Amino acid sequence: MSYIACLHCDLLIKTRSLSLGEHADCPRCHQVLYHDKRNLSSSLALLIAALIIYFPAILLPFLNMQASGQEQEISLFSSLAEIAAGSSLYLAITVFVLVLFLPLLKFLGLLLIIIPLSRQRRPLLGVTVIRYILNLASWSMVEVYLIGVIVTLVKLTGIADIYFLNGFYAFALLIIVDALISLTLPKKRIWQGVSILNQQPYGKEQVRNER
Amino acid sequence: MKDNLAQFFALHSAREQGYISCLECGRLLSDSRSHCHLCHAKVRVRKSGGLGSPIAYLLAALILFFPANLLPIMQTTSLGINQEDTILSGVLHLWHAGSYPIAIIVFVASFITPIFKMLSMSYLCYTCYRQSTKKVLFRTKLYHFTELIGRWSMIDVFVVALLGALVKMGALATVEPRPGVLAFALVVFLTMFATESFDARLIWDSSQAGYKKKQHHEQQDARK
Repeated sequence: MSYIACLHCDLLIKTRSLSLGEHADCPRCHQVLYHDKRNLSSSLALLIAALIIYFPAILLPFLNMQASGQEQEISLFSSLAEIAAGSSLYLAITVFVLVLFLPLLKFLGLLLIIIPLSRQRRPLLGVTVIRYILNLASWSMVEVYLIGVIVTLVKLTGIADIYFLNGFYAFALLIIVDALISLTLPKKRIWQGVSILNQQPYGKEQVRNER
Repeated sequence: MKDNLAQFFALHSAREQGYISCLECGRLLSDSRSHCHLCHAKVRVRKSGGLGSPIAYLLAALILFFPANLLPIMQTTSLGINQEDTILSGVLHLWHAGSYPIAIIVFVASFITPIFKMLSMSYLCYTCYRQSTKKVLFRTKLYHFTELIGRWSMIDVFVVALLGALVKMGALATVEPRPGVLAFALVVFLTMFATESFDARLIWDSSQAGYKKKQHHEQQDARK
């Protein structure tokens, strides 16, 4: 039997093992204590899918705009290049980091953690780096960007004709995969794996050889 | 769901028992440690900064909130006519054009959400400071809701970035980003930092302290 504390109200709680898909709630503040998401292989599959879809999503043209005889075709990446070259470098950098850079960093980082763990090897990345990668989730904003695209389209209706191109569908797919990754990410399993491979038990210090 | 304070504080918190939990990996450590064995993160009984850092971030966000909403976020030039738009005038345009759902989405995401976040974080900081014993569960939920909605305010920043790249039709029309959009992005970041630096466990600590004080006074009154 090992103990943990609720991260939301600091209640000391005895843990028990859950069956797959269950989650434990804090008896005092009713927030989620921990999930049982032992499955590394589904995360692995989703991450590979995300990396495959990522480059088409950002490099293929995703919107085509036609107005008064002129035509404009942009991809996510070229739209940022356009702004950076034109009026606002800072805006371009902000969007680049939030929508392109951090998601890619998250996918690659998680892949570098999960591949070795699923083969019972120690990840090459240090624990500090693992910590930072697991914290990236709240700063990668691909799904917020999609709402931005929709608002843009509404603003331009009546002024121009807009067509979705393949890049847009790839981007939509990327968002679905990204949401699934955050839903199924087995954070506890990752730390458990790391702790076993580092010869340290997970949970209270006195309890040894939990597994 | 009603708060049952007597029941809440009959239970032991990790801090009272001499333990710290690592916020990064969830491990329970003895409170003599300064770093987590497992993930090497710095551990503290509560997040450093206490109520000070969320309040500091909130004040910074409040200051930037005015330029973010008063300065134009973009400039549309069409057939030689310049038009500057702030966040709220953008919402008005959408409303007048008849796209009500989108106007409401943008209004809620870029105007209501930052205000709501600042209000709810100030309420949480104030009640913790006053050691209020009221609505403990509600405040815990409010904190998590505030944490959840934070990122959705960025919609308008992305809209400006996309419009600026898309509308480049020679002399006919161009859209240029304006400094207001950076102030706005900073407001979103600062409120996100404020939420992140607030420790939800302070809600429980402070109401427990308030509850004990109250009980102490009641006992003294009973003796008299």
